[in-house]
Amino acid sequence: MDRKYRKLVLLTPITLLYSLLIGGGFWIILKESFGNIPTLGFEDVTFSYYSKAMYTNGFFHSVLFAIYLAVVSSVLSMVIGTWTAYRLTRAKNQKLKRLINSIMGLGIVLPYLYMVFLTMLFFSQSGVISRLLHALNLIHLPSDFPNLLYGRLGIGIIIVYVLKGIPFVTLLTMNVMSQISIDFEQVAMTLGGNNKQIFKKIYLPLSRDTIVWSGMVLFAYDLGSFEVPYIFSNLKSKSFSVMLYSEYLKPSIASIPITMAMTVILFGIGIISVILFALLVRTVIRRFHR
Amino acid sequence: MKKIMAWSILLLPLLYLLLLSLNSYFKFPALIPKTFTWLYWSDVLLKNPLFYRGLISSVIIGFITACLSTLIGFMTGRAVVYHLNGFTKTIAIMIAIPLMIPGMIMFLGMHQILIHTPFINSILGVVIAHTVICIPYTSNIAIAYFAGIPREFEAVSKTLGGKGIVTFKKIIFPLILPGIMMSMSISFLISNTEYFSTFLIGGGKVISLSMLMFPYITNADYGHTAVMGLIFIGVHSLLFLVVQILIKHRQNKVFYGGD
Amino acid sequence: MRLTVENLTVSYEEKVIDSLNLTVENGEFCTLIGHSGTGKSTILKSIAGLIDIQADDITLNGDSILTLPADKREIGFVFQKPLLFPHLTVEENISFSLEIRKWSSIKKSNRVNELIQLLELEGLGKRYPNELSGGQQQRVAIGRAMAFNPKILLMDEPFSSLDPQLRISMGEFLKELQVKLNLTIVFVTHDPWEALRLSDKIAFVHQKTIIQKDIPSVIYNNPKTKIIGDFFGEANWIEGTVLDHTFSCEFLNTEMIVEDGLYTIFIRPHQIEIIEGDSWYIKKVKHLGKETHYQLKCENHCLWVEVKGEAINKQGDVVTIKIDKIKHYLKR
Repeated sequence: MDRKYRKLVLLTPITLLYSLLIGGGFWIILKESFGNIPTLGFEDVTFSYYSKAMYTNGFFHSVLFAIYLAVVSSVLSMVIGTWTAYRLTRAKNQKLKRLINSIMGLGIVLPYLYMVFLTMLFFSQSGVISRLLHALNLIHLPSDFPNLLYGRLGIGIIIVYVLKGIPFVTLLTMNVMSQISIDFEQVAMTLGGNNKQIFKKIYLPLSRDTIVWSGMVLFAYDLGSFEVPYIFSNLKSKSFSVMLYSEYLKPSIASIPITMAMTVILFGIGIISVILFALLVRTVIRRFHR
Repeated sequence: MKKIMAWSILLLPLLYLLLLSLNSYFKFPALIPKTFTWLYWSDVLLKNPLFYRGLISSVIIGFITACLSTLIGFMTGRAVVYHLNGFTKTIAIMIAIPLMIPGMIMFLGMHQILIHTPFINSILGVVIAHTVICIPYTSNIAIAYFAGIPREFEAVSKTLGGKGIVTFKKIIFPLILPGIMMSMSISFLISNTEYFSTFLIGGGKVISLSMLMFPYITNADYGHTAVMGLIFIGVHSLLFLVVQILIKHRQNKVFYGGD
Repeated sequence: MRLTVENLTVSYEEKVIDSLNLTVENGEFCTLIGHSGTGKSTILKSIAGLIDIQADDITLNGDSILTLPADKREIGFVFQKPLLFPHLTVEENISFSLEIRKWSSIKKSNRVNELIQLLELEGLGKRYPNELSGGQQQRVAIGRAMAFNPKILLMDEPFSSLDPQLRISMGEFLKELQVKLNLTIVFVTHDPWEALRLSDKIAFVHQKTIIQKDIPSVIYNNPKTKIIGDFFGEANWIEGTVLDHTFSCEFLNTEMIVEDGLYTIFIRPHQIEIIEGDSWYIKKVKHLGKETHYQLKCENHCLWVEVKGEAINKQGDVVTIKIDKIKHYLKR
């Protein structure tokens, strides 16, 4: 009896917070998306706002854009991050290991806003790289350097996501990989396996879950991120969080249900794409190491 | 060679930040500025009345968030390791729910709920929001640390005459202390780097460092951004270093031999 | 202190221990022995109060401890693994129980030093557990359990994680300590030789209770059942009849001073002597360096014989056996 009581007390805070703030918040959004906002006099329950939401100009485009950004940056982060983690795990030079560890640590600690800033510094048309190229006489004007950051392809956004994503994947994956005993390596070598096979058949399967997990977390974050796409936003390409934000700011009361409907749809799309992404990545990695 | 490359990746941006904060914007194509000024530093530190308010708010919010999320995270961690069947995938996913939902949507939801409470537009509301996103991290740390303590220690302590609270104070707490410190610093960091949630739930009444920085960046104001950047990095690097030292000092004792 | 356990029953899903009784006299080294999983550890944990049980009583020196919680029973417990607290030094581990009892600093450090001397841990006082060898760790664990002068010391296979040589030397060490300090110890092991070496009394646990408790020589020579007999090494079990002080079966006649009746006797392999003759032939020879094992056959009957030293006979030889008068038997 005492144990059960204790278990309940221990788990109450997290359950309460999650269900009230996340569950409760979503419940209200759901209600309002059906037009039910008693405090403002909306009493009916209807799906009409959903169709209005979906027909809003640029709605699906922003969703696709956000998914594109998230997929590209997560995949890049996972590939580069895993490779880095693997090389680091097998590296012999301890000092180098610790150095790269600190760099990765720094990457994780730096907030997204600062990564944005660094990216602007280096990759903008009048940024450091551009100036270096000028010093090497490869370009003459700022406009000669491609418009990476504010362009339609959202490369600036992807760069920022990848700069933050790589340390994240690397550190998590390296943690798992370093626990894979060196004995496995030696066994594989005596059985005739070379480096590539050791990676494919031993390290990859054993770290698969961690890689998928970190990729999934990155994907979810990138999908729903606001700050980064906002700063690098372009008239033609907007991520859905930016679009949602501008809808949220609209003063008209009539647009509230529509905004809520959008939110619900985006929530559904968000969750589904995160799950699909995770399953896809897991299958691909499995296929790769079979 | 690799070492030089690695060090340069680390130091160059910082160096550049330093330079930027100290000089006027230098036009393309100059690589190194020619003039230097304290203008940007003085703007931020002396002429911006919101700076200190923002700094203090960030620290307070960060600290309360750290305490709250660490407390809840460790309560959850203890429950998972000692009372539930361990860290199954289901439990892992349930704890990580805040990480899976697109951030903006989650915060919109929180905003809708908090509107009906007295916490909206206040520091406490922001704390609550930040705590929710920190809990996945603190819980995972807690689970790792609790799992590392052999279950038999409670029996050992009993046979030596120690009851529940004594066992906790003398044995369990010292062993999870590094985890608590790690958890607090991560939460502090996450809280300080949050922009949207602070802005939305604080409703403009709560100012944080990130909120101060946002307009500078959006306007590509390099000088001021560089200053804020350096301040931020300075504060947090110090914090992390201190925690690292404290943890290493204790970690050496915790490697359990003979197992 | 004298320990009594009266009618102990322990159930998990079903009964693990059923109506068990045990008495351990003051200063006695009593070993609980038996096959794995027979509940020996459960008995210890019951005495210590670490699990829920039903019993008529458990007393120490006449006082009942049945209703006392584990932390008030003043019983020392040494677990299978050292389980030293990793964040405390050797000295701090040992003095843990004294801290709780709020001993004064002087008393504490005296006692700790005394134990460090006793357990041959000089110079290791300020070390942390991860800096000690397995044997050292276990000695610290013993010191920790003994520090507060418990009325009785319970030890649950304390040497099972050590390598064979160390097991023997630690056992000797413990025995000397026990005699010197007149400690009452209840010791659990599944190693029969360890039990025979160290114990004043051995209690054999089987089928949820104790089926025999005796001094080592009696358990070894006069086991009550075949199970106990086999536990302590190879034995030849032979069924037969006794008439006029002679035991006879198909292949054997020998003197046995008991009443007439049906008996099962047993003979340890080293109690059989091989002499010239032609009743048995040698089916197998095992060379084990300091001794040789022979498997003898006579029609359908098999006997195991152990002889010291190297083999004199070889496979296929024909011999006869000589057995002293029978002392070990079970009446059927």
